Amino acid sequence: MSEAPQTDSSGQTDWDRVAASKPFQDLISTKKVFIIPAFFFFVTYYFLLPLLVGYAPQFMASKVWGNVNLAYLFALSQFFMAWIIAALYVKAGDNFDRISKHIIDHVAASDSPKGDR
Amino acid sequence: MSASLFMFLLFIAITLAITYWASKRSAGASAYFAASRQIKSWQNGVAVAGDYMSAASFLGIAGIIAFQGYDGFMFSVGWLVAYLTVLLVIAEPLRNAGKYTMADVLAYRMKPRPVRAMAALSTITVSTFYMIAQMVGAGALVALLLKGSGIGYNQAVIGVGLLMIVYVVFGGMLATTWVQIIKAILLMAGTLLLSILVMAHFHFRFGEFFGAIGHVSYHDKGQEVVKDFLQPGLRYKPPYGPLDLISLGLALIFGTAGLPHILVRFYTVPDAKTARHSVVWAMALIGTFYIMTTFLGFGAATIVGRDFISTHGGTNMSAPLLA
Repeated sequence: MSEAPQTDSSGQTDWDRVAASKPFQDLISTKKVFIIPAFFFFVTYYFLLPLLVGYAPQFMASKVWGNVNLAYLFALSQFFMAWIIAALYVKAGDNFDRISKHIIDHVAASDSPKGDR
Repeated sequence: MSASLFMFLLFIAITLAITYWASKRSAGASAYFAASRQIKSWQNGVAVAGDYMSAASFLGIAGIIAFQGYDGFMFSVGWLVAYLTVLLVIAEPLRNAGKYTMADVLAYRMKPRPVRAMAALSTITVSTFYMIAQMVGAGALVALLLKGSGIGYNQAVIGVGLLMIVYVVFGGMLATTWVQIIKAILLMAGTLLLSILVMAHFHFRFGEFFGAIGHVSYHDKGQEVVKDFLQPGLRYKPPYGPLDLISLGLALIFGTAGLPHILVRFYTVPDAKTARHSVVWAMALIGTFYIMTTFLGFGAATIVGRDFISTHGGTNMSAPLLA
């Protein structure tokens, strides 16, 4: 909208230059290293629940503590799995923020004074 | 005037006051559609949780667990795990795009016209189905609350609908955010209290509670049946039960990332970091809430009993009847 990309003499925008730069590529791959495995892990862990409950109901019905069975405990563990991944991601995210702030500062410094945001 | 009616009217008064306050402050598109992007992470997180833990969960999940035991709890699990999809792939890019709607974000990268048409269609479809469920829930609750005052179910549904329109049209995102925050806090407090009361009924002994779930008796076609409600399979029976479960799982964990009323909240925060932190706030609340559905649902199954609920309003009334 109001933030029309500014072009320099070579017709490139700040965005193009940042997107092609090494630090930005590094940021993207740093993010991928966390996000892709985390995503596949939680999807796998989650779908183990319906698969086991659906195809191995006898096994899941085995009692662990009093009347509490494996199915309920595994379901409960999903909550903690979700919380743990979220906590790890927040930790990793601080790192992403640091790198991206560095990139933005770098662009702002090499840019004309009017190039804010 | 009964105490519950008074509380209800008080809630409407407070939320309308917030709407009025927000309407005074809103100027311009960013203020109206995105609360000036000044919502703090905890505020946004609580509001997301409030949006999410709606009538469908409080009434619906408690009802399914009360009737079909463990299989109902499967919904609870998926509903939280779904937020990992939102956290890992949706929230931050959406915020960084700096737009107002999902369509704006997608149109930015693709052909605008077809994208906007599809996004509008999807939003209306999702919202319509969601709204029907919410209105049924809200109408049932309000009718129960105002029993004896001459206001029936139909009037309750229309009244609730009008209130929603007032909140959104006059208050914009700022008002709806605060209304959701209040709702989330009330709902958490209510659920916590009910859970404690359920445990008190079992003398705060988990063994006793889970033992009782082990033999829930009810009448099915005139026969008395005793079932272990912790066993899977009461709802999803072979041969297609397992497939149903997988399909439910897919719908839950990827579907949440497409809910318009959740996505729209990520435009109200100042930056990606806040968006990320707000998802974590939401996950903390939502997770706690859905773990407590164990107490609501199984509590209703064991203390109130399926027979009583069936004759007093059906599955959706499990939690209110437990209260």
